[in-house]
Amino acid sequence: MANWQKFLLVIGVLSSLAIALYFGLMPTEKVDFNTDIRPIVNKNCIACHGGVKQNGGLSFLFREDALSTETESGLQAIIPGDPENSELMKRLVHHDAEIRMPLEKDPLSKDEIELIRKWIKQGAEWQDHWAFIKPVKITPPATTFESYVRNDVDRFILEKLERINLSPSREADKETLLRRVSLDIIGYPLAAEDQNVFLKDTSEDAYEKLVDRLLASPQYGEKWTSLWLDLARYADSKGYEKDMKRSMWPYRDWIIRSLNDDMPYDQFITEQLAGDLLPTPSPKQIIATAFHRNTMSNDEGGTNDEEFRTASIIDRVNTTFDVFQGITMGCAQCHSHPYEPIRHQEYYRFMSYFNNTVDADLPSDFPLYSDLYTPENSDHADSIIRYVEQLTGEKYFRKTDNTFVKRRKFLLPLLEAEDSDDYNYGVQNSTGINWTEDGLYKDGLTYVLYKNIPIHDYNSVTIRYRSATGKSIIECRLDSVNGLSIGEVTLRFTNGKFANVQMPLKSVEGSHHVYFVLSNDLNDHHNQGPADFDWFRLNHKNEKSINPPLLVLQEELRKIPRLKMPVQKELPKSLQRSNFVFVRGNFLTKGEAVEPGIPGIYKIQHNSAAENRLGVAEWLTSKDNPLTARVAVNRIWEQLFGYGLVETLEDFGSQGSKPSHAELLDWLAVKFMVDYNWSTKKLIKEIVCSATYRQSSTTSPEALSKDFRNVYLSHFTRTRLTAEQIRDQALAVSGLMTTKMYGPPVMPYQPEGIWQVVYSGDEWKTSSGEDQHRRSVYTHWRRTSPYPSSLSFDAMSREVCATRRIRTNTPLQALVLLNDTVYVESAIALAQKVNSSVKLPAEKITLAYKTALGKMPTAKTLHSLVNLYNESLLFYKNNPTRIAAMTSGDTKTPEVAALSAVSNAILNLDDFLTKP
Amino acid sequence: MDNTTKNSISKLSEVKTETRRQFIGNLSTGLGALALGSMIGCDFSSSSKTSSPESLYKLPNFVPSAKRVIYLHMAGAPSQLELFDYKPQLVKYNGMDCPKELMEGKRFAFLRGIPKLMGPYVTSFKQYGESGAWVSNHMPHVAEMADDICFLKAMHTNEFNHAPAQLFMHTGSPRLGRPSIGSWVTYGLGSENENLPGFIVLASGGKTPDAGKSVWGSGFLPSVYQGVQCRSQGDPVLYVSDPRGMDRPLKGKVIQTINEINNESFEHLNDPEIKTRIDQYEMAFKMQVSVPEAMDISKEPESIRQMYGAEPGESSFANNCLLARRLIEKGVRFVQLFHWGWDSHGIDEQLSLNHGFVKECKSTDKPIAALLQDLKQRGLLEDTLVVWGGEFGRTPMQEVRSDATFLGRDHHLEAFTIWMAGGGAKPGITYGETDDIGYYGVKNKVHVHDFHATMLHLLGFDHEKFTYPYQGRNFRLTDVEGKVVSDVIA
Amino acid sequence: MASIAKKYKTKILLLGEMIHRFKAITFRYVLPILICFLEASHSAHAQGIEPEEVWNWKIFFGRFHPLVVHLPIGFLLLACVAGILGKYQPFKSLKKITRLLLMLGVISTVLAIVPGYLLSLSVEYDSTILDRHFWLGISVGVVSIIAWFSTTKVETSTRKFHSHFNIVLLVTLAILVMLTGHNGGALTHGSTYLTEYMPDGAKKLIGIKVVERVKPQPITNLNEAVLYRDIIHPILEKKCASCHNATKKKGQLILSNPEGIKAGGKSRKTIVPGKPEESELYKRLLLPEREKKRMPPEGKSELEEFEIEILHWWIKEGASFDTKIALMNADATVKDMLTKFIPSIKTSGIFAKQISIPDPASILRLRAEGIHIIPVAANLNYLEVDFINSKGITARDAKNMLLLKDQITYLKLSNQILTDSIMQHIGKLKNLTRLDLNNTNITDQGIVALQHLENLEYLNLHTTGITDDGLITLYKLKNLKSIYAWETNVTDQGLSSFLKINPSVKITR
Repeated sequence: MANWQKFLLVIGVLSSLAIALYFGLMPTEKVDFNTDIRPIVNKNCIACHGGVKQNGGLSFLFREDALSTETESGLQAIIPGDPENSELMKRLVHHDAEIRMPLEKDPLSKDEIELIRKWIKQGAEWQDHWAFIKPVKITPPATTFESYVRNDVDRFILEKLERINLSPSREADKETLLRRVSLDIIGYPLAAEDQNVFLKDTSEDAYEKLVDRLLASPQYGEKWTSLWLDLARYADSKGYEKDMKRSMWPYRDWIIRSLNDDMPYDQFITEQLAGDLLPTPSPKQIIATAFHRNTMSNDEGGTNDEEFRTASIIDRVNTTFDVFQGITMGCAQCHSHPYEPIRHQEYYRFMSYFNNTVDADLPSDFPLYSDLYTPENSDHADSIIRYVEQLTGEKYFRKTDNTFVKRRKFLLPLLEAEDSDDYNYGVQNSTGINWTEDGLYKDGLTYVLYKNIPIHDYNSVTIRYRSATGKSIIECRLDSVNGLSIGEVTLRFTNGKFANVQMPLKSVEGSHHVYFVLSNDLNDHHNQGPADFDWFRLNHKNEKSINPPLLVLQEELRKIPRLKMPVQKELPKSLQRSNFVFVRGNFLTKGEAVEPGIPGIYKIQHNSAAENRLGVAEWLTSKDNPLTARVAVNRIWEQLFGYGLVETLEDFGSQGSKPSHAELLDWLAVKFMVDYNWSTKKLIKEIVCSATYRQSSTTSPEALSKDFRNVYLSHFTRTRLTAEQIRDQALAVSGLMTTKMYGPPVMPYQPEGIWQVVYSGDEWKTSSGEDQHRRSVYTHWRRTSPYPSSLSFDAMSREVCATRRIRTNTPLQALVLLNDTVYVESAIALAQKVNSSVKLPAEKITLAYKTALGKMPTAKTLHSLVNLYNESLLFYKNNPTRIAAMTSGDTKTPEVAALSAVSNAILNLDDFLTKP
Repeated sequence: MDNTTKNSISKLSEVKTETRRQFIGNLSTGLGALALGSMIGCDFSSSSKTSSPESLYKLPNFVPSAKRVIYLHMAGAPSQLELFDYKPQLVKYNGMDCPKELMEGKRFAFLRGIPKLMGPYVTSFKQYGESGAWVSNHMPHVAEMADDICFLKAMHTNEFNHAPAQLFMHTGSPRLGRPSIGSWVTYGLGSENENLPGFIVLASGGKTPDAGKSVWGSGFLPSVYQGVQCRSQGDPVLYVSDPRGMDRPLKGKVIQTINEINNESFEHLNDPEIKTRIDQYEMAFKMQVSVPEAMDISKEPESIRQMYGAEPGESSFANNCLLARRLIEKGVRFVQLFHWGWDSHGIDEQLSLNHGFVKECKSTDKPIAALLQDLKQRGLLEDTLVVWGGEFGRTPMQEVRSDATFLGRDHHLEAFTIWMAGGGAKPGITYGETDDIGYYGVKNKVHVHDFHATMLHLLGFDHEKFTYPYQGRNFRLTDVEGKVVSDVIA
Repeated sequence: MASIAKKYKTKILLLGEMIHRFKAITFRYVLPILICFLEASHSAHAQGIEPEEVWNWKIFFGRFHPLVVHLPIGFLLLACVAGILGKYQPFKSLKKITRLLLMLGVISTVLAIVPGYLLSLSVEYDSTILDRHFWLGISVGVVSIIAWFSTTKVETSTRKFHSHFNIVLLVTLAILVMLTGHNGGALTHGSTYLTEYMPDGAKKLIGIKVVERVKPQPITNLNEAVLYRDIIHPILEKKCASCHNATKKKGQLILSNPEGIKAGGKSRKTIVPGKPEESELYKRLLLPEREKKRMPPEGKSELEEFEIEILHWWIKEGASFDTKIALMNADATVKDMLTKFIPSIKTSGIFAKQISIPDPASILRLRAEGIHIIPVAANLNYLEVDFINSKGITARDAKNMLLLKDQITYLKLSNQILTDSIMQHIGKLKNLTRLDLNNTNITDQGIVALQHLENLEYLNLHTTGITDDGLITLYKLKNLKSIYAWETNVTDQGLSSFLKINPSVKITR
């Protein structure tokens, strides 16, 4: 090349040198790890030097790892204060592309390298990811839009808006507000008369009063339960191949009630995670623990129960973190978390808390809470008990007894297997208790326990059982598994049929805990356990001790079918499982043993906490937990505004999106914990009363250009309603919806042949009467074939915890709304409704529109609708045969049919499907 | 990637934004959005604001040799030993005790203790075509197509129960919640035909797969990509038929009205989602015609129907094969067939090798051959990948249930056979070998992850680059494993 | 007039005086130095330096050059700065040190030149750059000395001329120093060292030819591949050429091109065709690490096991530079290794050829007609066009496609109504590789339009009216692999006569 070119080059080199020097000598301000360094590291380094891979023995997840001298090269990547000798710096700028980092990628930019250099010079201080730093109380910022502020929430929003020179939108009109806030709080628009209360109310706080009314109405609980059912992966079936039914609905009802009672969020968490471990848990609290029994269980023939039990436990760990911490723990299952500072072992330490529940993926879903009657049965059962109480006074029951104890005392001397206080290795099912094969290979501690039995009254016991193996011995021991033995009998092979056997008892004094201990000398492997038990009948020293009428009642009470729902139950200390790391997440290859513990990233000392699920709950609900409140607040914000302050609801970690309004998030979180003492209703009220929430949703071109996705909330974001809202709304505005609450799931109309069930009699029997028009939250949810119309509106199959629904917009949705019987019915009902109340077609159409959308149609809209009406009218006049299908009741006129067609259109309008 | 291509991509994405701006501006046509949709590989979805840019713009990493897939899943797992994996030795060992070491540390669904080996239940095993592939007497028609088929005889998997194994086979994970191959492929290539879903599922054999709809679910991918099950009785697609009270013109008028009013609110609110909804209603209207039309096999000439042995109106595997061809021809990207009835444990007549199994072979052999032949003569086989296989194999050991007259084999995850045809898979080869009794793969083993990697490769995707960001992690069909089996790529 | 003449006379006299002094100095100092250099060089060549020998004074001292050389650079540059600034009032003080600096400069220059020359005798460097560096070095010495004197002069005399001349000298000196320095750098680091990572734009700006790092054709068909071009060369480029290239030929060895390889390095046995075990290139790869002769040296990236094996095989097979793999005998293991070189990404045939970006406008126009049109792959400009959604192809569509005639490579017109004019347009889409015309009204006339589509590989005509006459018109298309003629009027003899001319085509009926 020519000399003058080289000359230019040299000059260039010199001058850039000069510039570099100049900047190098500038006064340096502190480099912030989270804002400056972490992004660079996560983008360029973590993939190879993180939780999954530690190439060259180096990882940047933890400071100690990054500073370690244990690297393969023995060179220290980062020497705090000494960038020049830090291998990292050398590698970043190395001229040989094969040595320079990041490998096979473009080198980092000068500025990035400079940042890192400075940061190392300044001591390479690590900083926890913002989400792991506990939120502190902040004072809301000042803003120039003072006049606009309604409460502190607005200050945070406005302050940001100012920064990008956008101004907030004016308040939406009353109708819009009414529709918006009703959809948000109770899930569908109020009835006309309730609407007028607000629309006519001109007082200052009319809106606040409306909000209070809505929050007070029982429909609030129903609306917000849908959200929790997604999180709790609630379903009315077990999942996997057979996907049998199971009754979880009492748990669903528990949520509705808790939400309506505005149960404090910390208590809400505690009861679901560890209600059973609370001192003297109430039935309600036991039912709450079904939260983690919503995990699927696999009844497929020949499955390895332990494999799927483990799968459930893992699911519980992941779900706990997804729901309450917004951290995706799943990654740490196979290796240290690739992005978050959570180690592989820590995952299994945490899992240990959950690993000691009794459930074991058994077909019976054991352990079950069995003191439940279906609504229709419960009265009957109660009446019998009450009758007996009157009949016998104190003879049977003490005041303190709960129905469970009462029931058993009353049934004495008959001890039903399913009424036992405790048992081990047992499988409780419809036929009583049968023992799992493995029980007999362990320690022979296979027993069923009945507490405080007045055994002295009895001299023998009749056992109803069946056995596929025989050769088993059953003993009656007192007060402990190896306590005094007062009777023994051998069980014979019964060829699958139930049989009775008598066991004489030595006479003893007083009441005792009675253990029926089973043991045998089988040593070859069988598919079935050695015995199933139906009941044990204690035979009284002198017969006819019980008066006949009671016997009759006993028989009657026994016959009343009870409902059994899966709940969590802790294993007795003696039988607790030891915990290991699973190598690469495989439950078959167990690694080192681990003790229960919270991941270290949470700098929480909670030595007080028990080493069980209760401990987890304490930790989650501790005010020091940096995430619980933030995640909860963010989720509620997302429900109201369509997008969370942290858009990735499921991930607050370093890979998740940054909060759009970090200060607001923290401020709300603190308020929620401290000021509101975990009251969700108070929180919701605060937010929906803000000026920000009340903004109109009209978008200015300026807003679109500056902030297309409306992150800064310069106006309200319209969002498509959820599957539940859409259906409920249609039923509500057409007047079909019933307000009946609670109870077993219902089966509204669904197209033929959705369910293909081979293993059980389960089938979709369309419910009759009002049950056809219950709110969607009560719809029967079968995991392998969920309610199809909801599914097309992005409802989750609820096989695993779903932290966020993506809103899609597909033609299948159009097909549902246009053709699904539910919506056609609604259209007809709406037509019928308006038809009777006004005269002129135009009026009817206007009224239909107003009923559906809570506002008057524009002239243009009305015009289009009237056109449609006229054309349809013509059509039905020419095709009278079609009328019947578009009308109901006795008014089968072409007019009503035409009106139905119009309503059908109205129920498909974008405005109708969208929160205004 | 050199500069010119870089530019071209950026140019193309400009085109994308261009179209976007245009269709937002231009209210007269709804096609703008669809054109955009199909270009960016998701016809049906609006750009839901939360979805990442990748999800909007996916194209193959390199030129694909297969552009469509027909996946014939034999749910219940047909026995490779009775069909393709010829083991003369096993005949000798028939009735002998299974060597202990084969049972040790192994997990089986039902086998306990020491079972006996069982020779294949066949009358003959012959070599066919120039390739000389082994096929038993159970599949005479398929045998005739041997030279178009690429057999993978040393497949192996991790799961030995139906539900998890089927999930593993279709989503790359034994647990629920991952997208199925079909969803991945439609997410990557989109649908050619704007009037049909890109991923269609047809089930026969009287039962949906054990793992349920999750086998064609879209997992964490937008629901747009989930398989749309078409049914042969009732509506071919749910809710596709008009309520009895309406006819096409009236329905057209209803939709027109809806869109008029939606346009009005769009003018007022400038919300792009409204524009998309308008397009989707147009699409829905089109689908109401196109789907039933596509699903109507009575439109096929008699000769073709006989070739498949298809009977309009009934729900049979033969019909589904014919439908598969019709749909592929109409530009559907992925057609998934399920045929249940292969779980030959020897429990009863249906689930036994000497009855049900033979029956299933009869009912599937001819249609499969016909499908291959038909695709071939229409020039479709070149870029349509056909896959046949179950979720795992069956043991060389006999499983004896209550009634020994029913022959059965238990689930087996160590070795089974899957075959591919067309779509750039090397025709007329047999890849991989099992040991003398067909228990272990001994040469060129192919794991399910490898198989997925290879399928994606044929479709133009580098399975390591083809990812979707979810919960802070980039997920792929092959999880963290899988390597392309280049030897089976033509 | 006279006055002017006088003026000049004095100037000339003065110039004469200058030259005289210069001569004097040159003869008294510079020449002797040069002479002793020359002697040294003679003796050096006479003995022929063996770098291997333990004690070699020339190389030993020679290697001090890079060390010393930085002194003159520093002194002289600083001197120039001081000298020039010194002319201005605020920096007067600098004047004083200028001369001192220059003197130090001169001395150090000489100290640098000597070992520099000695080093140059161990001929491991690109001679042209070396020469340039040598003479520049000398000239720096010379000019610095002149400048030194001129500065002394300036201090004494008050004449404007002197100070101007002095400035000129100083500037020249500065430039010379930089050039010399740069050339020196080029010698040690290679001439592209500075510019290697400069943005192409900047390179163009200063007129450096932007070297397109031409990737070797990705192998699609092993038998077609040329072993050296497609496999060996890439390996050498990747792992060896950083040191053994045209400019920086370590051990006098160039591995970046066949000539260099044939020529070999100092030991003339770099490659012994047929005898890998005797070829340095192979032997040194096998030496244990830390061994001095071991290649690649420590710190540089290793060769893969299979890469070494392939090199072995290549040499064994005669180290040919143009033989196709097909023509060499490879056993199973080699075959297996070879497959490792097949890239996973398949850009064969036409797709390997770079083409321009499609015109967005035409794409949009076609889309507006509901025509499905997308790139065949993310990193390619080739397009796939499918009319499956269109209401029917129009002449306008065909014209729009013409605007994309380079890019359109797949075209699907199944079930369309095709006028002959449309067929004319389609006949111009020269990069078409796949064309579906099945279930169309295409006729033998229409099909004639296709006979110039050289790249066509796949043609689907099933269920159309074409006959043998139509078919035969396609015989010229040498890339054609398959024709689908099911449900057409093509007859057996039509087939056979076509296959006589063009047997490579597979026709399905």
